[in-house]
Formats: sequence, structure tokens, C-alpha cells
Amino acid sequence: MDCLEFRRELAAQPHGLGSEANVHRSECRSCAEAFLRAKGFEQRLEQALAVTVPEGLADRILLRQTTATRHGIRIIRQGWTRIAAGLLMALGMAGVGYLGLRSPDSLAAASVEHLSHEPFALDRTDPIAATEVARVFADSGVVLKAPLTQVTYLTHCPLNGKRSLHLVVRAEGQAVTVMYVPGERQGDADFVDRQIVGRHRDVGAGTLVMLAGSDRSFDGIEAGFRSAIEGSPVRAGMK
Amino acid sequence: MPVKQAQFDALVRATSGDLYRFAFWLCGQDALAEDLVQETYLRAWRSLDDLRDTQAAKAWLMTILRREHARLYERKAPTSFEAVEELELVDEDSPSPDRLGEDALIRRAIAALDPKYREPLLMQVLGGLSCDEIATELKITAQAVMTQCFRARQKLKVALAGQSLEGRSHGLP
Repeated sequence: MDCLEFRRELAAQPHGLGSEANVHRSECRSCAEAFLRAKGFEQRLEQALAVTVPEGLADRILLRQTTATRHGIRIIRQGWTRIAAGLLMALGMAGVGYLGLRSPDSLAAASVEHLSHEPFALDRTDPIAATEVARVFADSGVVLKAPLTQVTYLTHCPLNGKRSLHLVVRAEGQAVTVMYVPGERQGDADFVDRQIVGRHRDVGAGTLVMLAGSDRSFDGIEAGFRSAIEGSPVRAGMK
Repeated sequence: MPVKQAQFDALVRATSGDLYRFAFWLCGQDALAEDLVQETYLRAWRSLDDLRDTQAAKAWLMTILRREHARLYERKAPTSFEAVEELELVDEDSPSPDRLGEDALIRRAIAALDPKYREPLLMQVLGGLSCDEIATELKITAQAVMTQCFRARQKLKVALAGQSLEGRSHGLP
């Protein structure tokens, strides 16, 4: 191997030099120096690539995985229960039955499930600046027409495969988890799931989901989001 | 704890940091990078039985993550990089201002690299993959990977040298 071949290999894979290159390095002083310089550059490169990993990332990954696993088992169990119930109903009602079971893929179910993915979200109490909230919404293609305040947590999260906004809003003495799914209108519904009270409403071009222990602050939060997203606190046509 | 769960725990703890960094330098957004990593590990969990060689775990995860990233951009246009100068660095010893400035220059240059150069470089530096492994992953020849990694480093060095010269010409140190 000559010096040119060595330098090429060094620049292409400095961490994995072949045996010929290593022999050349031990015999050529200038290439040995080039090797040291390359090593220094690699250290700088590694350092520059080392952006900070979000705190608790591994724990959140594991929490989500174990939750998804349990949820999967539950869905399977529920599936068998539903089949059995369905058979009984079909027999009892001579083929006329209605299974009012909620789809596990519904936005309401997905939102409740998502709560367990980010359990630390509710611990935060410092309000996020309205300008920052507006920036994050704009990043999802939603231009706010009025400021959203009392937001203490805000991030993008996947929900049913859609990139959504996950917020925590503090109102009337409680922390309310709010999910906004831009570009997906799922209609209006109120629900209770595992002691969590929920509501979802079409707001703007998306769906607003609110989850908390009580629905006492839902009206105020919904009005705030309507003002911010639609420009009016009440639904169009209901003034 | 069941064996499969213990294996997955160890996998997450050993690889999630580098995988997050890989995701970040692919998409340029911290929240999106975390989404990608979360989705990647969920998929990895579902097909953990496919992982035969633990030495190849990082390459396997990077494959899944790249697919997730590609799937994401089937639906959405790529977003621009966040201001890389504002990213925090992992350095317990509080790097000097000179060092921070140099890192910012390198990060800006990495963000500006064409993805065809950046991706193999990331796989090599963050993933520790060999040129052959990267070639398999990217479905190109090992020689092409070597060329791209060579050019990526050359571009970074040129960018750094250019910035240094520019600094000197303005009377900066």
C-alpha cells in the first residue's frame, strides 16, 4: 500500500483500517502523523454529533412498550369476550344484535392509552410562553389566532399514526391533558375510560381531545382552543 | 422478568442514546426524533425474535428507524434542521468557548451535508457500522460507501477550514 491509498482508506474508514493500512502506518512517519490527525478529527466529529439525549428516554420507551404489550393482551382477551358475548347475543336475539363496543383504535382510546406514555407530563407546572405554543402549533400547520395560555407541557406525539400535539393545560385547579390532532375530524363524543373523563370535539380542521379526572374545566378549555384555532370561543353557527 | 423482556430492556438501555442521535441527525427535529425512536422500538419489540445476532442490534435498529423515517416523509415534506448552534452538548467537563464554537461549526456543516453523504457517515460514526454493513443497508457497493464517507469528511474539513479562514480574515482568533 502506498501513501495515497493509505490516506484514502484513512478518510473513508478511520475506525476500521485494514491490516495493510496498519502495516503502512507503522512504516511511514508522515502517514502515522496523518493517522493521529484523523483520530483527532474523529473525536471532534463524535463530540459534535453527541446531541443531548432527552432525559428519561429509555424509561419512556420501555413504559410505552410494556403498556402496548399489556394493551395487546387485553385486546386479545376482550376480543374473545366479545366473540363469546356476540354469540350469546346472536343466539338470544335470533340474529339481531348490536355490539356497542368501542374500537380500540378510536381517538378516545388512543388518547387514554397515550397518557401512560408520558406520565411526567402532568408534573410540570411552569407555564410555557404563548409565543412558544404558537410556534409549535405552526410547526404542525396550525396558525393560532389568539394566545393559548396556562399550557405547562407541549410536545408532538404520534396518535393513531398521526402527528398530534400533546398538551397539559392547568385550569380550575386541575391538570387537563389535551390532544389536538390536526387534519382529522372525529366528531363529538364524551366518554369515561378507566376513571378518566374525556371529551372530543371537532375544532378547526382537527379534533380536540380533553382528558382529566373531572370535566369541570372542559368548557373553558374548549372555548380557549376555539378562540385560538377558529377565532371565536363558540362553534360556528352556534352564536 | 421474562427473558424476552429482559433482553429488550438491555437493548433499549444500550442503544437508545445513539439511536436518538441518529434519528436527530436524520430528521433535524428533537420531538420528531423521539417519535421516530419510540416507533422504532415498538416495531423492534414486535419482531425481536428476528434479531439473531446481538452484535448486529444497532444496525438492525437503524434499518427499522430509516424505514420509519422514510414512511414519515411519504406523508410529510421534510422539515428544516433546528438551529444546530443551540443544541446542547454532552460534555461533563464544560468545554471551553473555543471548543463550543468549533463544535457548532461542525454541527452546522453536518446539517448542511447532502443526505447521501450524511447518512453513511452517521451510520459509521454513531452506529459503528463497517462499510460492508452500510453498503448492505443502503443497497450500494462498499466502494461507494467508502467514497461517500471520504467525501463527507472532506466536505466537513473544507467547511471547517473555510470558517477558520473567514474568522482570521475578520481579525478573529
